[in-house]
Amino acid sequence: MAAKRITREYAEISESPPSGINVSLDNDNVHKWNVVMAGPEGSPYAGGTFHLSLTLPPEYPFKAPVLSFKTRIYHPNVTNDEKGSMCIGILKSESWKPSSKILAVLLAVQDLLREPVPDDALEAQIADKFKNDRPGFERDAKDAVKRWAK
Amino acid sequence: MNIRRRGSDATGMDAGRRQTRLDATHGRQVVFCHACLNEWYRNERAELTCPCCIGDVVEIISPGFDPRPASQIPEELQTPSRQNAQWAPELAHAHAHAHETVHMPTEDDQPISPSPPYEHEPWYPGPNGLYVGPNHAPRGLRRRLSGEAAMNDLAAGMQAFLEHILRDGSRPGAAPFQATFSLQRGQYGTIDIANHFNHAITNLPNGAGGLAPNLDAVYSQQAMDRIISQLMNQRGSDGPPPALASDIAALPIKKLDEEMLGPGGKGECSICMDDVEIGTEVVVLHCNHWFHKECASRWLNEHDTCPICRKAIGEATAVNDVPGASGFGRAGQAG
Repeated sequence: MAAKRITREYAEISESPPSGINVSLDNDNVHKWNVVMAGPEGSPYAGGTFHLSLTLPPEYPFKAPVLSFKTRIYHPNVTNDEKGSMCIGILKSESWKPSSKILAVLLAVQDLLREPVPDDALEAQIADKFKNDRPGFERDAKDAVKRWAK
Repeated sequence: MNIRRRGSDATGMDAGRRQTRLDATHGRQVVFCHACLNEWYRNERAELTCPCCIGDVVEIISPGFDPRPASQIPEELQTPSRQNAQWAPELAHAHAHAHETVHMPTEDDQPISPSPPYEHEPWYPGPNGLYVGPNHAPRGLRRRLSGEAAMNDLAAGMQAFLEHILRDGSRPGAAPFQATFSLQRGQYGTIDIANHFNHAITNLPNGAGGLAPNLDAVYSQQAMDRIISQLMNQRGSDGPPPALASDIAALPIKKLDEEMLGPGGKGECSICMDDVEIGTEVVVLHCNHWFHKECASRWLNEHDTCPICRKAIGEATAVNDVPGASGFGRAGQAG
């Protein structure tokens, strides 16, 4: 079931990709997608290009996809390391549901870049800065984009 | 082996200041046992286990980091007359059986063979051939006063915590751990806590114990965090619990009709995303969302939530017993 549904979703997204998002398969493997996401306009990530890796487990859609940033990013909800693990509500095991689509997951990531969720942070220091020193946060995020996401 | 306390004429390294703390600020590392509040110099003992209780919940104290609680000993307990407490013989015996509950000497324990205090020697031979510091003996008393309550609280808290985590996550065949925590008031259970906690972790159903390379100790905050999050994940990574097989079997099967189609007049199972033709048998949840029977069963066997709206079918069964509570007129919510 997984491969059939994934192929269908891949076709849908490829045919009409949402703005700022491009997907391709990693070595023709439908379970591993390469995602390229533009930093959303109006966010400190604007102008950056972020590569993400989307892994769809064999049990998909009964198990949630796994998404990580390959491009390093300064963001409260993404680990600021080479792993780039991220914390996003739709993918949490307690909130995942099989009717959630990959498109919705990718749009949720875009939303997360526009609006971080500091109360559900993976990087506490960045979350603190986001909450208490927004200009400082935006400056640091922009610097990080210049350094890592150009 | 008996350990004697020096008398009131003590003139040790700590004389002149409060005699309850070893000094960690002068280049010698002090190790502190969270279980029995004992402390000792690290260069006197290579292993990071407590020479007093063999506990391994110990921490190295540095000048910038001192986890030792502020002094807790009432003054009267530090008077010389009370400082003749000794290692009870049964304690020395118990050290050979670390899994047994240790009975620590209490105020009521009479000194068995009072001996004249050592003079001018800051260190005394302790059990296991080790040396203990000049402030050692009152710790039995200290433990009685503050340690016992603290340890009982800790034990109760840890037990509740583990039970909470493991209750929902336990599967048929998983060993119940609750029984391993059996602290009794009046006994000193520090060793039991450490051993049983590790025992519980070692026996976790999917081998979380692999985290600790040496299964009887965690030495750092990070290691502890790792174990805690492993335990949390064990429960959390599964998401909501499965639906009852009887609830799944009781779900109505209907032939798909036009009223059940989505807004576009198209029938699609939102689990496998395959098209579903009119007349195909589908299972209908209480929320009126429908799916292929196999698709819905596979999900419900793992999680009792509607694949679309996450309403539990168990919940819905209960709610449906209330007249008028079912969702009439909500057809057309096809995925």
